Amino acid sequence: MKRNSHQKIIKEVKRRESEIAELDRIAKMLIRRDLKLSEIQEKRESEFQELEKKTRELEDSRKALMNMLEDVEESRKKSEEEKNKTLSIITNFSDGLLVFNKENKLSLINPQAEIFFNVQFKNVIGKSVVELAAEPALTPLTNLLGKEIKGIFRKELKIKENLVLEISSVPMMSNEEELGVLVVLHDITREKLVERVKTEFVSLAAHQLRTPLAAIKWTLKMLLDGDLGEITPEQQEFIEKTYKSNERMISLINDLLDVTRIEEGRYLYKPALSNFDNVVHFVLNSHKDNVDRKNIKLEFKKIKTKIPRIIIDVEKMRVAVDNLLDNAVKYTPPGGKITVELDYLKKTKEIEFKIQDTGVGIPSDQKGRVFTKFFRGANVMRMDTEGSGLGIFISKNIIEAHGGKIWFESEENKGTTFHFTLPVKEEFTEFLKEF
Amino acid sequence: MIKAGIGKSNNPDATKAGTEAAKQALSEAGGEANLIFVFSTVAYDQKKMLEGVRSVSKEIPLVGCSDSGEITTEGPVSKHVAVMALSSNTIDFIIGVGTGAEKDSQKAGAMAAREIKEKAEGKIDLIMALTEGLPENGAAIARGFQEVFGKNFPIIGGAAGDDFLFQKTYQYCNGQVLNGAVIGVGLSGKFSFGVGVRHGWEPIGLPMKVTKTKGAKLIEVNNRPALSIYEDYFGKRAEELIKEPIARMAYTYPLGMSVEGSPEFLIRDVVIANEKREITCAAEIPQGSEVRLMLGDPDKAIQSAKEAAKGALAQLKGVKPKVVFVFNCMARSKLLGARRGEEIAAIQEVLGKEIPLIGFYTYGELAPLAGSLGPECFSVWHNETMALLALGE
Repeated sequence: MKRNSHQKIIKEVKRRESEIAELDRIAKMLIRRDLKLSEIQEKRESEFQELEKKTRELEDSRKALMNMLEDVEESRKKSEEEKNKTLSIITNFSDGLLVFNKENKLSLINPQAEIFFNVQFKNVIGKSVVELAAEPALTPLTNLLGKEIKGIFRKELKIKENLVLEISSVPMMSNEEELGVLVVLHDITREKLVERVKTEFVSLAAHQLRTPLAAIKWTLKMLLDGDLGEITPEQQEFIEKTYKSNERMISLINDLLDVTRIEEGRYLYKPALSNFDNVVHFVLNSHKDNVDRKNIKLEFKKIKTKIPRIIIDVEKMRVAVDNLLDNAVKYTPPGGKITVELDYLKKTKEIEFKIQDTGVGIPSDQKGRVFTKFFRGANVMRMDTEGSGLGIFISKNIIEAHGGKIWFESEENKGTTFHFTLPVKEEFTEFLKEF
Repeated sequence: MIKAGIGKSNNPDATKAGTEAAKQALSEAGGEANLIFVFSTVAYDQKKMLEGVRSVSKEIPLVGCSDSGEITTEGPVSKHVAVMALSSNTIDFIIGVGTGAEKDSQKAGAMAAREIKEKAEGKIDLIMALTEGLPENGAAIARGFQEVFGKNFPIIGGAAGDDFLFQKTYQYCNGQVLNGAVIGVGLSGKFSFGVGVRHGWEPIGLPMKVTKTKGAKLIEVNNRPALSIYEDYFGKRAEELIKEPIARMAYTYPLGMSVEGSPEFLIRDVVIANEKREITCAAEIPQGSEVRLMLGDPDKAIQSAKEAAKGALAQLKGVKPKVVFVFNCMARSKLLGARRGEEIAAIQEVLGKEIPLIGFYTYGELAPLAGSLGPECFSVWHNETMALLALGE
C-alpha cells in the first residue's frame, strides 16, 4: 500500500516535471516567435520611416511643382488675357487684317476683312495663297501678294466698284524668328472719291481758264505784232511783260491739266522707236539762252557707248527731261554748273540719264516728299522763284509709265543730282522691227 | 509660482540647434528661469550644442544629459535637442555633482548628495538625478544618495543615453560636458509633487536562480553561464549575442525579479555579454534572487504609463500639475515603435495636454519602487520603466 502510494507520488512528480518542461518549451518557443516578430517590426519600422522620409521629400517636390505649376498657370492666364486683348483689338480693328503663318497659310482673318471680300472665316482659314485664289473675291489680292507673299507697302487695289483698298504686308518677327506675314487692308475708297472729285474740279477749272488765257495770248500777240496799230516802246515793253506772265500762266495750267490727266489715267502715251539722245539735245538747246543769261555752265558729257534706240513717247519724255533741267537752272545760282550725262548700262539693258547741279539742294528733312504734288523745298520758297511744285511729279509719272525708275541725291547748299533709267526692251524692239 | 517653457530644434548646426531650442524655451517661460534642463542627441557635438544653449541662457544654472530620443509637450522626437526653462519663486534648486559612476557608482551618488546637502539652506524634499547611462552599477547610485539622505528619501531621474550605441553617454552641468557623472538637483521650498512608476512588462517561462554575481555582472544562473538564458530563449549561439551589445537584441526581453513593496517585477536590462558568457546588467541582481525573462506588450506598456500618470496625479492631492518630467526607458521606445507617441499622449490625457512636459528616453530610471512616497518610499534603479514626476505649487 505504502509502496503503491510512493509510486503514485513519483508518477505524479514525473508528470509535473514533464508538464513544466512542456511549459518551458512553450515559453521559449513563444519568445523566439516574439523575437522574430520584434525584428520584423523593427525592420518595418525603419522601412516605414524611410518611406515617410521619401513621402515627405515627394510631398515637398510635389509642393514645389505645384508652385511652379501655379506660376505657369498664372502666366498662362496672363498670356490668355493678353491674347484675348489682342484678339479683340484685331476683331474690332477698322482695317482688314489677314495673318498668314510660316507655311503661308491663312491663320487669321478679322471680321472687317471678311466684309471686304464677302467671305467667311471657316471657308478660308488654313488655306494657302494658291487655294485662296480660287475665291473670285480674293483673286486681285492673291495676285498682288504672290505665292510667297512678298513685302508690300501701301499698294492701291481696286477690289470692286466702290471699294479700293490700300494693301500692306509686313513680316511678323519675334526674336529674329519669322512667325508669318500680316496683311493690312486699309479702306481708301472715300479718299479716292475725294481725290477724284478734286481732280475733276481742277481739270474743269483748268480747261475753263485755258480758253480765255489763249484769247489773251493772241490779243497780246496781235498788239505786239502791230496788227492793231503803232505802239510806243514803253507800251511794247509792258505788253511783252504781260505776254510772258500769260505764257507762264498757260504753262501752269498745262501742268495742272497734265497732273489731272495722270491722276485720271488719261495721260495718253504715243510710243515710237526713237533716239533718246535727240530728246536730250532738244531740251538742252531750248534752255541755252536761259543758261547763258544766268551765267551757268552747262555741260553734256560725251556718251561713252552707243545708246540704242528706244520706244518712248518723245513729247512726254521731253517734258520729263525739261522739268528736271528747268529745276536745275532755276535753283542753281549764277556762276554754277550743270552736268548732264547719258549712258547705256549693258548689264541691265537700261539707259541712264543723270543731271547734276551745284544748286541750293533739298533740305534733308523734306527729301521724302520730293516726288509728291505741289512739293516745293522750304529753302526754294524763300528764294522767291516761281514754280508750281508739279514738275518732278509729272517727270516721275512719265518715267514710271515708261517702266523706268527715278531717284536723286542732294545736299543742301551743295547741289542735287537726279537720275533716271529707262529699260530698253528687246522683245518690244524686235516686235517693232517687223512693222 | 512655477512657470516653464519648452523648446526644441534639429537644426543641422549643433550650436544653432542649442541656441534655437534655448531661445524658444526661455521666451515661452517669459524670459526668466532659475533652472535649465537640456536633453540632446549624441549626434550633436556636445560642447557646441551646449555653447549654443548657454549663449542664450547665460549664467542660469543648467543640468542635462545626452539621450536616445527627446520628449516634449509636443510628443517624442529623435535627433533633437530639447530645452526646458523652469522658473519658480518658491523653489530653490541646489545642484550637486558626483563623478566616477562608471567605476564606483555609489561613491558618485553619495558625492552628488553631499554637495546638495552642504549647499542647501532649507530642507531638501526631493532630488532629481541625471546619471551616467552605462554606470558600474545603477542600483548603487541610489544607495549613494540614500547614504546621505536616508533610505526613504524620494529620488527620481534617468540615466543618459547615446542613441542606442551603448558606447559613451554625457552629462551636462552649467557649461560643462561630463562623462561618468551623477548630477543631482535638490528641490527645497514650497511645492508639491507626485511620482508615477510603472512598466507593464510581464514574466514568462520558468523562474531561474541567480547563482553567481559580481556587482552588476551576472555570472551564473541555475549554475550555468548567465548568457545561456538568452541562448536558450532566443535560440541563438553565444557568438551572435556577444558581437554587439546584447541590449540591441534583448532590450525588450530583460530580466525581472520579484521584490517586496512592488506589485510589478523590478527589471534589469542586460547590456553587454562577453566571451565568458557573463552578462553586464545596468544594475545589480543580488545573488540568490529568482529571475524570469520579461516580455513586453505595446498595449500593456501604454496602459501602464497611463497608470503611472494617474499615480502621480493622485499624489498631488488635487494640486494642479505645472510641469511634468518624463524619464522613459529607451526599450519602451523600441517596443512601441511608431506608437510611442500614444504613450506620451496617454500621460498627457491624465495630467493635462497643455502642461509643459520634458523628458528623454533613458538607459535606466531612478525612482521610488512602485512610485510610493512617504515611509514606504524606497528609491531604486529601474529599467524598461516609465518614471514621471509632476510638480505643482
